[in-house]
Amino acid sequence: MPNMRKQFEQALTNIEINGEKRKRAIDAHTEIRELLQQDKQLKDWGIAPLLIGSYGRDTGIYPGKDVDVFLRFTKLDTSAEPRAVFDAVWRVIVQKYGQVGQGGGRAQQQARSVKVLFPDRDRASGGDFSVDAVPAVRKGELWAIPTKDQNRWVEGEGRWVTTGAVRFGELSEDLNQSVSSPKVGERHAYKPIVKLIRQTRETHLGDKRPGGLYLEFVTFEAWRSRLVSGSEWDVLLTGTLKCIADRFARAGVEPLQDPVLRTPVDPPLSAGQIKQAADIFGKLAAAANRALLMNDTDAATEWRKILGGNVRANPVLPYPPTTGGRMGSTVAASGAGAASGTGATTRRNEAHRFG
Amino acid sequence: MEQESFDIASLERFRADLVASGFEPVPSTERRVWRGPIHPAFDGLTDARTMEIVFDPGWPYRPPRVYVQGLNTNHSTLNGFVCLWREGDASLQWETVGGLFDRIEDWCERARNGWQEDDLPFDAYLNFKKKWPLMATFDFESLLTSIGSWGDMNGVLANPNLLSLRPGPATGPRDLRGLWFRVGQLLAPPPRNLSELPQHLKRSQRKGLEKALSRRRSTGGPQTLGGVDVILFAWQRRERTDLLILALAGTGDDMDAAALVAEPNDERTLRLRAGPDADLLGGRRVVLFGVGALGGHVALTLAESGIEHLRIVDSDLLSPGNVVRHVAGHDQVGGRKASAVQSVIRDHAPWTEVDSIATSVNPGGRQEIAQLVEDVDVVIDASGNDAFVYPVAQVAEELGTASRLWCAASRWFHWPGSAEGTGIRRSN
Repeated sequence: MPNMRKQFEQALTNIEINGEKRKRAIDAHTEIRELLQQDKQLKDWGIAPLLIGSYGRDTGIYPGKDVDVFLRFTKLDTSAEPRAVFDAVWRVIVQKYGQVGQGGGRAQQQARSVKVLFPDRDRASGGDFSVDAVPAVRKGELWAIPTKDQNRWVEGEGRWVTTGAVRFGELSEDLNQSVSSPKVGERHAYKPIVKLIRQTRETHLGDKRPGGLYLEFVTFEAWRSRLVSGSEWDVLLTGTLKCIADRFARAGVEPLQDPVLRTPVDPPLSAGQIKQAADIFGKLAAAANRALLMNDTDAATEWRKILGGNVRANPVLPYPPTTGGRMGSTVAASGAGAASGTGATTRRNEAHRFG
Repeated sequence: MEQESFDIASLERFRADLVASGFEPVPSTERRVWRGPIHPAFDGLTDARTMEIVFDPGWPYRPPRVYVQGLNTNHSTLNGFVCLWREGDASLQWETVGGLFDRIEDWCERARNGWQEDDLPFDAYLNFKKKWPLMATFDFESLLTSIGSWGDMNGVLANPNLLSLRPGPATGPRDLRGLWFRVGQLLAPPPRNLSELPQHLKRSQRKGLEKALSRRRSTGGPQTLGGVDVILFAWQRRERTDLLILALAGTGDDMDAAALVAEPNDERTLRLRAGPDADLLGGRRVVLFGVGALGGHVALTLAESGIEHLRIVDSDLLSPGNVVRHVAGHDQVGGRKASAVQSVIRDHAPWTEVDSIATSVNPGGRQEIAQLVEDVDVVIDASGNDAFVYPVAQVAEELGTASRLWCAASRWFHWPGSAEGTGIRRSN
């Protein structure tokens, strides 16, 4: 059985939103939170911003999409007017950041949210990104956000849409930290596996549906049901791929569900999208299963195809070091076949000088 | 397209470690250029917040290039290149991010506390913003002994690749006009462009330079434009003298300078390459009979090793067929081999005084032989003539002036005072 732990950890480094970019996302959230909390109107409504989405759950992959922020209004419920809440948020934000298209402004209205651009000025922190802030009011134990159709904001029914986003973040964290949930070494494995699944999806489905969130739902479901076990990344990922393939195979008769709301995912997947996902993940699960029986280099070659690449690394999973030789050339490594070690490394422990 | 690498696995590991250190690939560079937070070791050396790491094809045998803006120290260039390893370094210390960062820490410590002297000789040239692949030769001895701190010099383009500089003002219409400046220790890193040069000069030097620069009239390469075309700037660094040779192009605001590859050509400097025995051989005299295919190489090697006086004896003419194995080339064909070898030696080892005798020596002429061998330390026979070696050996031994006789071509040698007692023996 191959020993791929180090390679998977480096692959995770390559796909995670880490370091400066994650810090900037958190800082941006903090900046907006502090700005909004200073406004009397919003304060009276009990504003309590929260980082949600894959950034909030720490399941996003590089380069990452918008940073989603829930502007929770703890003293409002669905009796509040979406327009009034939305306009109050927009007023404060546009005053601070200006409107896009007007003298370098950075704020922009979306269907039900306000987007603020955060440019990467010194181009050293993973590029530009934006914060998408959406107002949310209480609905029972959950939260509700305005419907995307602003024409319906005046109606009594349907102007707020219930969302389990906040609760899903809490459940994800619980699952990750659970003592009965698999670990690799000392590291909790659930969230890293979600990232590897999202990366795999990105490689093999790209812009096609299902998107990353639905794959995360399916992964969550499998892990919460304790269908995946193991103590190595490759074993856990293989088991997860198998569960995903099985879940899509029966999704035609048993629709995917939102794990919080326990309702079919909305918008639903088409039959063609479900079949394609079942086929692709079925093949990937089979390839992963084969890789478990290979030597390190051959297994790495297989996993490189499964995980694919991103802007930082293509593929994201590095080859393992070889004994007594160099790991081939770029040409060999970028092809489908495994590269063999060539040549010998000569190290000279000479006292080398500056150039 | 991923760039070419000899070890894709270690390159991928290195880049993954870069990501873990907060670096990201710069868009549209195919992961060739990475930007990330500046290493804390640079604190105080620059205000920059980021640094770049550039990969060239050939990993891991070529180190990644590191760029940090705002540095003003040796071993860094105006465009921010940080010279971490000398050209050709094969340590592979850079193969891990940890190794690279260790080197950066070492570099920064030296940037603060001083560099090793051995690291610096070529630094000024390498760090100059523009470089011109043209070699400039000059007489280092005369520069060191020149009176004053600045003066005229002139140069000629000896060939398209070589500018030969000499002391004194330009005289011919095609001569390049030059100025040399000499100062003491520099208080700042050597100039990295033309505008940084004046700050290292004394007032009188600076005025002289400004005046000469203002006289330049038109644009072009290293050609005479009036005023000054070439500048030699020398400074003292502890026990040695470092220098930059700059070729000027353009005039007025468009004026710019490029560093040339500076190489001294004075005898003292050249002799440093003669090898460890040069001083020992410096006072020795050698006579060599026969400077053909073998003897010519023997003569040249002796001269290159530092022999001070070489007498070469050969009356043969150099033919085209000889050239195949001879030290002299086809341009010498038709002349005497002795003269040809003398010419080659003058070109390679100017410190060797060559006494070229292009007449045939009569093996029976004891007196004639005696005159040739009496004042030398070593007698070498490369004539390939067995009948000649005996009388030479005998005369040399009788005179007691030659300690050894080598008969290179015929595998005979004479070893006076050996236990066997015979004057000449066949070698094994």
